[in-house]
Amino acid sequence: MLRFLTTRAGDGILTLAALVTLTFFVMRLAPGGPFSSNRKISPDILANIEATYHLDEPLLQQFLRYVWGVVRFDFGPSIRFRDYSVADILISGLPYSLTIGLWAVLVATVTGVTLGILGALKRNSIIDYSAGVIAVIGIAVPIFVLAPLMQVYFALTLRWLPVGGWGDSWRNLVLPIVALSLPNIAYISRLTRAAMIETLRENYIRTAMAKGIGGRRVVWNHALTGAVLPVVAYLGPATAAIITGSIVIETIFALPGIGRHFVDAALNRDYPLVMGITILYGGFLIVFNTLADILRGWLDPRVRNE
Amino acid sequence: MPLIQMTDSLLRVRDLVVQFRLPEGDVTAVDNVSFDVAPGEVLGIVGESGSGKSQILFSLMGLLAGNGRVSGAAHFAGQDLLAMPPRALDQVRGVAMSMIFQDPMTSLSPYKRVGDQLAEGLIVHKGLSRREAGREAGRMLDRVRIPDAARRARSYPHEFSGGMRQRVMIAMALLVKPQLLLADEPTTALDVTIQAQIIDILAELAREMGTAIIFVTHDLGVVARLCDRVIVLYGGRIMEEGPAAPLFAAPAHPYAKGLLHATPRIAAPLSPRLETIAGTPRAGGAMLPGCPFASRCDQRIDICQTAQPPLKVIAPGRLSACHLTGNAA
Amino acid sequence: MSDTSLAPIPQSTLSLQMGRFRQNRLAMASIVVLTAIILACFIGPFFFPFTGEDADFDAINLGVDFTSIHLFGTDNFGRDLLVRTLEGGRVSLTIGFLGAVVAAIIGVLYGAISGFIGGRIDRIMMRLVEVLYGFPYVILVILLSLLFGGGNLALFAAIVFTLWLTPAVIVRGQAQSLARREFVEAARAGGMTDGQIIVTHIVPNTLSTVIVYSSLLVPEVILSESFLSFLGIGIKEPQASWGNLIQSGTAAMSTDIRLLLLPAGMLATVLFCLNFIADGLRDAFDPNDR
Repeated sequence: MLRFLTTRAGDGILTLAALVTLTFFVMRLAPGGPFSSNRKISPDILANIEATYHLDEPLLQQFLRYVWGVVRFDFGPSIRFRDYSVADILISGLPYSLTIGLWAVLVATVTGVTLGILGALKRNSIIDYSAGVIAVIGIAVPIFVLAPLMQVYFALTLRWLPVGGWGDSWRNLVLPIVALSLPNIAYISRLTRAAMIETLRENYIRTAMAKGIGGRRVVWNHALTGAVLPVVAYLGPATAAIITGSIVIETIFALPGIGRHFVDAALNRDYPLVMGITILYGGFLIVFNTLADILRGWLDPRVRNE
Repeated sequence: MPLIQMTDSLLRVRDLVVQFRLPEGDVTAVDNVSFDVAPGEVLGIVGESGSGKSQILFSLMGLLAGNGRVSGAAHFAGQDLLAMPPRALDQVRGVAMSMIFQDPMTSLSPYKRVGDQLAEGLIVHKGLSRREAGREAGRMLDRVRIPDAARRARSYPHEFSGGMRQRVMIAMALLVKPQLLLADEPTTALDVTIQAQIIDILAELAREMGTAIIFVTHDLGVVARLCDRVIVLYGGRIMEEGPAAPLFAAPAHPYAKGLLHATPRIAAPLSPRLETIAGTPRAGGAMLPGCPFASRCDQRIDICQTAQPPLKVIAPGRLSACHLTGNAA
Repeated sequence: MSDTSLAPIPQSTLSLQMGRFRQNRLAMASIVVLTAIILACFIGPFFFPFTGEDADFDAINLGVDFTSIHLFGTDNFGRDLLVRTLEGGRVSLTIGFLGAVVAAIIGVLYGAISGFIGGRIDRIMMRLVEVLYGFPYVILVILLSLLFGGGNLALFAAIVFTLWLTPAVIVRGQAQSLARREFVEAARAGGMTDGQIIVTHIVPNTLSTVIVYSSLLVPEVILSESFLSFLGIGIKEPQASWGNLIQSGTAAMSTDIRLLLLPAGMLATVLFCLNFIADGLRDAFDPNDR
């Protein structure tokens, strides 16, 4: 276990290093700069500002300076939000993004697995069909269509829930979490359903039935593991999907999270902020991928031995 | 009506029909099969693949595939297994009747410790505690001669070889001390050298416990060694039935004869090539007129194509379904 | 069930699979609807005396009126909504199908080479895929489309670059098992080079899987394109795309939901159809899957 964790940590750092390098150079090689747009700044002042952010140094030197900073957990100042460091922005946004994201993962997993299993056990039942409909909608209707429609219907027409923003009430969270989890509910329920049906065809399920321990026990004690394993493997991609989703969801619902900053930062070439968000997201992905692997090893002894 | 009536049979199967609904139409896998099993008796059911022999066992255990339908009756200890709802059947299967499957590699759950898989039946049916059940399981693994059984009970199936897994399956089936054991080609998937060991373990334990066995196989050597009585199945129908020794010495039905000839013998002089039965089993299930074996039979006469030969008594305790044999009755 | 053998029906696998596909009513209906939408997008705009970028300031924010020339009304610049939506469809569909094909080709070649050659090259190639898999996908797409300077081509390249991974992994697995098969041994013994074997034996044998997966890639590419355009990174005004139309529709949705519904409905319909077709293909090619 310890060896597994250390190799995974090594892999994670490698991935992160590749991500940082790639992001850094892609960002810098992209045309434009943080001050190239709108306002006219005199060359003197521009040179001055660029010197402040070390943008006048050779690229490699800037890169090394940045990496040295990251190693010391110094992500530099934001260029666009003056007086704020990248760390400040990340820390202030993180609680909102995490709340939404983790709830979405939880809701998606629980709902998706439940729907998938019920659908597989009672094939062609009403539950199976409604799960199928939800799955099709979740997969085919993008969340940037779904979220505005939900706003129109539940907030503007029915006035049940707020249109957006972050209040003290849980009611602000309902629409963003539902919108964010729906595509994953769709995916997970389909995954679970297919895996459950396949598992129920396995010979060891027949063996368990032959033991006369009852259908319910066979499903819960024997079939469930096989049905849930693909979902566990999907946990990594699901996290990526939630990250992607949170970028639009935070914009649409005007939530003060991190995702909302990303597009802005990228378009305005706020180099340090883009880098900081990239590292944070990359880190999340690595953590969840590792978590998924640990969970898989715990459920499937054959994986453990590899 | 079966022609051999037992007064004290443990299992009494009557007019068993198993059909499968396929997109191409219904297929009959087992066609009007009746037989009895006495307590402690070892009955062999032989036939080539597709003869319906495994489906007989699945239908008794309530394990037919979803598109399978069964009719007839199978009285076991006074109850009709085929008429029981699954919940009632769960009081019989895994308790008084258990089954060993063909493929030991896939018949155990890969996610659970072998000992736990064994113990489960005891916990559910006998109300033993986890610990007691675990101890029983370890003892049983020891009896099927798994070395270092107590420790191995904590291993997972993928850590066992095929032969060892089949021993585990045997231990699991016999742990509840069943009256009847259904063995579905338990050695087919194993190395030849291991087959004999498995058969010996199975036979020995069943004898000790007084368990009756229905042994389904296409391996006639195993049947000769193990079984008291034999049923030869072809196209879902019983072709010949009788005590093992006389049947092997002098098979009556042309198919049984062919089957025995097709088995290579070490003692026999080496023939230039292996004997085979010409042709392939006919497709489309058994619900066709005439004898299912007719098209491959070298003694075929006209009536074989049109009329189904009934099972007839050809000697005391021996039955055959052929127009040419046994008008002794 | 090994005990119920039936004589196999002699028929080519492909025709059997296509026959199975044709029996899938949902998939067949989806093909009809999708074809209609494609035709409408590519031909429809020619029937109107204006393009989607022609602003008519005398006809701003017209509502739905099937008797007028502006069937679904106009936006706040007086541009025809229907024509804009159809023109946006052209872009989305072109990028979707081309992107899927290109991503599939890259993935197939990469996977086939990696799986067939094996050994250290395979390990290095798969390591690269793993590292890329570990990247947050959006970030990569957004950054790449910035790098390529914005515009349709940049968007296209960025999306393709992030979507070839899955086909590569799948094909690699297949190539690995194919590499051990007798006919590949025979080809090698017959003096074929690795490159020839990959092209003539490995790739064709992975084709049915590739078709199934590329059919899933099409909606994914379309989704990515509209996602980025929605965020203002992909296709930019005044050129129309479903993503940026939905974006401006969202901005006006509290007063006039029509601007959101038409492009959103169109996009959702196309995604529905593509998913049903992909499902149908998967069921037809791999009936044991469900």
